[in-house]
Amino acid sequence: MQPLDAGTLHLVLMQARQGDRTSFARLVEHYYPRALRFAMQMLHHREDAEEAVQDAFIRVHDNLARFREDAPFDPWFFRILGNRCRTLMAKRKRRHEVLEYGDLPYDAASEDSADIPDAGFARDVHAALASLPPEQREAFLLRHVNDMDYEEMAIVTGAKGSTLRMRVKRAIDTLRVRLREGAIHE
Amino acid sequence: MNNQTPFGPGLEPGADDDRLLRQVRAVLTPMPEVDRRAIADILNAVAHRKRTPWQRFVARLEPLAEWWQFSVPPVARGASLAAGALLVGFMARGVIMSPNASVGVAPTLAVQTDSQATVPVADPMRTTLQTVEGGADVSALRIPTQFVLDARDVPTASRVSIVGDFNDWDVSNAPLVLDRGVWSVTVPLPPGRHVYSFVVNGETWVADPRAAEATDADFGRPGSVIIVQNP
Repeated sequence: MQPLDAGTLHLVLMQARQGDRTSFARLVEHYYPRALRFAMQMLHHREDAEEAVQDAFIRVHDNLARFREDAPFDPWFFRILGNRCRTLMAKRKRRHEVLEYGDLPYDAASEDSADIPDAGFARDVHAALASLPPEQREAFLLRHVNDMDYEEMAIVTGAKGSTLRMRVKRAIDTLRVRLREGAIHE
Repeated sequence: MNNQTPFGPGLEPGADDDRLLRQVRAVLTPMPEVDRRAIADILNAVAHRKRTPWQRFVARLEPLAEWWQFSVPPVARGASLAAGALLVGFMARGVIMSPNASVGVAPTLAVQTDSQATVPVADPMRTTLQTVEGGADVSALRIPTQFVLDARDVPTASRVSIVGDFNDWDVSNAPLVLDRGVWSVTVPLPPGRHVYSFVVNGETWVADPRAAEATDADFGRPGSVIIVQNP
């Protein structure tokens, strides 16, 4: 399927709002790869990421009629997706706490992803990204991977622009230190 | 996949942010492989999505719940919950302690009386049952009491109401209904002595011809007395 340009995307969005299923399918096709990439980089686990993306699209479907026609869609969509990712992280944390205090071995979800390379600089990047606090990770991914401006990021996260700038800066500082350490060790 | 490290010997942190970002972006920007079945699952789930009104209501609350969970600081959440709990506690206490609380708890029972009764009556057996079921303070009970007036006693009446100390002598508070030659109305009254009068056509006060006359009638107008007994 061809990528949608801005005008076509707007038209598809409006038709999907009216309940047109074909248009909603095109919307899912268009956003799915970016959504999955974001969720995987937030959660570092493919199945959790797919679950988060599916939940997000179902919520988009349920609430699309209430979405404002003149509002930008990307921040709205990523806000829903970001919330689903946070919910899954919270669930995972609770699950981890239960297992940590029980006798069962802990199966670290964050260490299990078939899409993360097992060697080299790419692995170091993913490992460094996974070590960031979720707020910094989210801010960094929105700004430097999804190319959002700070106004859009504020809609996604609900945080102020100054807070987001600080999160991105701290994320870059941490990545720089971690990747430099990795380079030195090699 | 890019396996080169972005830092060479002699590179200082901070001087190479742009290069670092380019390298990191190059790793993170490529799209993952998409499993078409996952997209099909989403479309299938959406196509067969049928929800009850309750589920739709809950779905509308979910964004609010997520905002509450992720955007409200924990201290503010705790404070809000505590304030909410206090408010609910005060409201519950107000309902439980209110003198009128039993009005809403105890059912209002229709009093079965003879339509030609000459005085207002209440059924003590029924009100006793009320007390047991409602579990309310006896002094807070109101006993359904029927007032009747023979239409032959007020042949010119087009409308009749009852006024008394129990409704602040408000003419519009308790209108009587004419049925088979009898004007009647049932009013919940607290136990005790009450003075009352019928008001014909909104202006003429008429004492109940079949009740004791009140010697202390207010306003210098005719009045009658009824004693409502404790169950």
